[in-house]
Amino acid sequence: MVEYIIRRLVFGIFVLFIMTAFIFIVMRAVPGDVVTLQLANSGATPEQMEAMKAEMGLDKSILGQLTDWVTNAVQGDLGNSLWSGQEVSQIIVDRLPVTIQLAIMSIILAILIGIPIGVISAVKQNTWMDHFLKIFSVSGLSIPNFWLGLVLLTVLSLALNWIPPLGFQSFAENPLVNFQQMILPAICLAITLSASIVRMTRSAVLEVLHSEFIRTVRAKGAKERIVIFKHALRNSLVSVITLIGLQVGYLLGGTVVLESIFALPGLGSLIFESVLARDYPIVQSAVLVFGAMFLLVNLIVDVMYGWVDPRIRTK
Amino acid sequence: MDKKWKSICHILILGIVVLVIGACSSETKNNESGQKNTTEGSSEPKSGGTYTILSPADPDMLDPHRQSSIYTHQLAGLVYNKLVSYETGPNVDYTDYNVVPDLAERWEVSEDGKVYTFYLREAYWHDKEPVNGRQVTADDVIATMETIINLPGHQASLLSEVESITAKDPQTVVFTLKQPFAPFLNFMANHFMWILPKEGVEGKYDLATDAIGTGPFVLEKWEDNVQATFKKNPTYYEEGKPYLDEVIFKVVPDQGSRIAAFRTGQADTIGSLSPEELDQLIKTNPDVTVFEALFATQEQLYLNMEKEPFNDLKVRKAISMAIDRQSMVKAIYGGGETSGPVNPSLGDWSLPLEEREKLQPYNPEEAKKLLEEAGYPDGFDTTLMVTNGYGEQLVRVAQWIAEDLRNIGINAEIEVVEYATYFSERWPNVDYDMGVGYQTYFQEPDEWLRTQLHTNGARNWYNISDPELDKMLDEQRLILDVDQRREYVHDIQRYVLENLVNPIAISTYYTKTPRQPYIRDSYPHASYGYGYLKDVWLDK
Repeated sequence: MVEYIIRRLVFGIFVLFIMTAFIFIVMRAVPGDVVTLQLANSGATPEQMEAMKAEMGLDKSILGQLTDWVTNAVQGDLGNSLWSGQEVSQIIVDRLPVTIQLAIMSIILAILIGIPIGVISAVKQNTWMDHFLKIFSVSGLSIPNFWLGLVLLTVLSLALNWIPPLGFQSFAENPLVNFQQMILPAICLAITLSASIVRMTRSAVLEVLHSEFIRTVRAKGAKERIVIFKHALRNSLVSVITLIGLQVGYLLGGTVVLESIFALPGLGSLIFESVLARDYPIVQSAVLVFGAMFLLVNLIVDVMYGWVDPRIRTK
Repeated sequence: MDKKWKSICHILILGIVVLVIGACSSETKNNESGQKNTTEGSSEPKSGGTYTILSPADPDMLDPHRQSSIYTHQLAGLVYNKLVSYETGPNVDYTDYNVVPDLAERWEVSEDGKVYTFYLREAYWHDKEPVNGRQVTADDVIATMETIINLPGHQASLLSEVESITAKDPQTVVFTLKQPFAPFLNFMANHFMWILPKEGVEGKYDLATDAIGTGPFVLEKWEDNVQATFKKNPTYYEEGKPYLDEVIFKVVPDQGSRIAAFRTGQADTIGSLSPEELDQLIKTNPDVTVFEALFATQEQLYLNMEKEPFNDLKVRKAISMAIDRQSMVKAIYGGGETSGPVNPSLGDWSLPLEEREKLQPYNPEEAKKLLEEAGYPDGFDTTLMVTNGYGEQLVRVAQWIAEDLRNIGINAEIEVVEYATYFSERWPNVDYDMGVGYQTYFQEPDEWLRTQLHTNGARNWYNISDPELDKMLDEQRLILDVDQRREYVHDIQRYVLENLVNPIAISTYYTKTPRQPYIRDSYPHASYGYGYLKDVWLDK
């Protein structure tokens, strides 16, 4: 197992490197650069612009810049923002907790909503209840979560004359305010995620329920509750967990827009702003962190298989 | 899933979506009168309270000389003062540019117009480390000006005519110019001219993350991308002011979220709204006050003069004549004026409205004739560049213009470009046929005219080169008598509308900014900086 994890980690680092190089080249292939953006407005001379580019290291070839960046990044130096001059690692440390909290809240909510509904759908297959819940899951999948966020805010402000308090406060500063600020975007993200969990749970549970061993379990007189939760659900969880791992990618993508809508100072909104401002070091580092999070979550998922399904553990 | 169920599901989903949308747009049934301009009561101002402003973005840094961003300079207006500033108050229009004393109590100009002597008032820096509330001296002013001159960027060009700056005594600063320079005082009132303490310029604290000034409010805390908190300055030089205890800026990137926050009373003011957004807001908050003002810039249709057929004056005139400015600004922005080479937000530096309308008529028939004379009886094909980075409305302006041009036979294909590409690659490098955009918020007629239209203008991104015009543009800088200079600036604009017609000013719309009904004595000004909040108080 340990050997397996190490192998995965090494492979993960390789993937991250490819990803970084890709983003690095793509960002620079996009027209527009930060120096012109900052100085064109103010009518600086071409010499001044060249000087500033040299100062930022933007005058080197892309390969040279990439080598520089990777060399520094390996040593833990992610560079400085091209706009504010702040250390990128500090910016990320400030902003990452917001996004992680949002992601964790969304996943927990999505599981709490998704798995029970999926199980009910499967057990009550083809009843009105199943069809009703199907509507939920199809809407959840098809409604874009940023739209849901906007509608939620507008409806709340009109109906209740209330929206979450502005001015972000962390959980440590003020848990109550923090909860109010986080819960709405978490719900928006969770609805999309739970919709796919519902579908996966439903089909997985159905498949297990139709298998031979369930008949045996029923035949030996087990209660229906035990049949469903101990046998059917547990055997379906592997595929559900895999799905959650893969969906974390979409979840992180969703934070980019939802953090902007709900004015949360997280990593998602940072990427959004930095792409527009061509702040290369921030984009690269933030994407790197997102990529690492995605890989890590899926590694944890792989490890969890063994916990959920003892058969995998022994292999 | 069987087919019947699939379709029923789809219908149900559609129903739910329609219901939700319906719920957001049906709202309450208040009468639609709401709109009123600021007619403030003359009662005695009350002290206290917090004023909350929502802003779409945070400044990248607070250093006002390294940043041209409006977000930096709006905040700088609370903390810093300039030597001279623009007057604000109950009888001053948003677009009146009257230079009044600020840190300089008074000033003198020598006979030959080359020496300006500023006498500093007794003012004190905010009581923060390492400046600790000491008195402002001429050394602070000189140190600040040297920084402004030495940093790259537009702000240095504002002082390009300055030969030397010296301190006559600790309270007197003397600026000597290379030659008489009419825009000088206006440039000293420009938002780049915030005076910083010497300690800041010398790097004894970080100007990027802290701000120590003399202004009405003291920066207490700046949380990057969350909020900035300012407290009343007890040693502010205007006695009894400011009235507010606290001003808070909160960063809310999304317009819909800002409106929701205003509606629920979490904000005292937010940025300007589109007519549709304002109508919706007034329905639920009928007592909101709306501040209307001319937008600080204009939509421009600019032409690449090195490309055919835009090098032909007749073609440019035909294009200008083909555009129905009045209907456009009404339909897209809910109202505004036909604009001119100097934006009407600069008050009487711009040509009077009647003249702007007379010199830029809407006449498609005449436009067709001009095209025919120029040798394009059937029009021509071209492209029209626009960016969505300024919001949806500007893209609609481009669509409107393309439609108007089609009426005279010009087939302009719209190309929507992402903002950073637009602003750093295409526009400055004159890489386009035609383009539609907003100009920056220039504060001086010299910037509107010389910066854009002079052969060597820093913002001549149109390939304009007209020696006669260059001469006029240089000359207006030398006319020190304000009335005379204004006449000459008007003449230049008439010349531009007759002989250049590029960039074509389209319209200047009225911005509409909502405010909570209890806000009193709020007199904003078209220049950057929230310094006018010193007069604001809350009647609640």
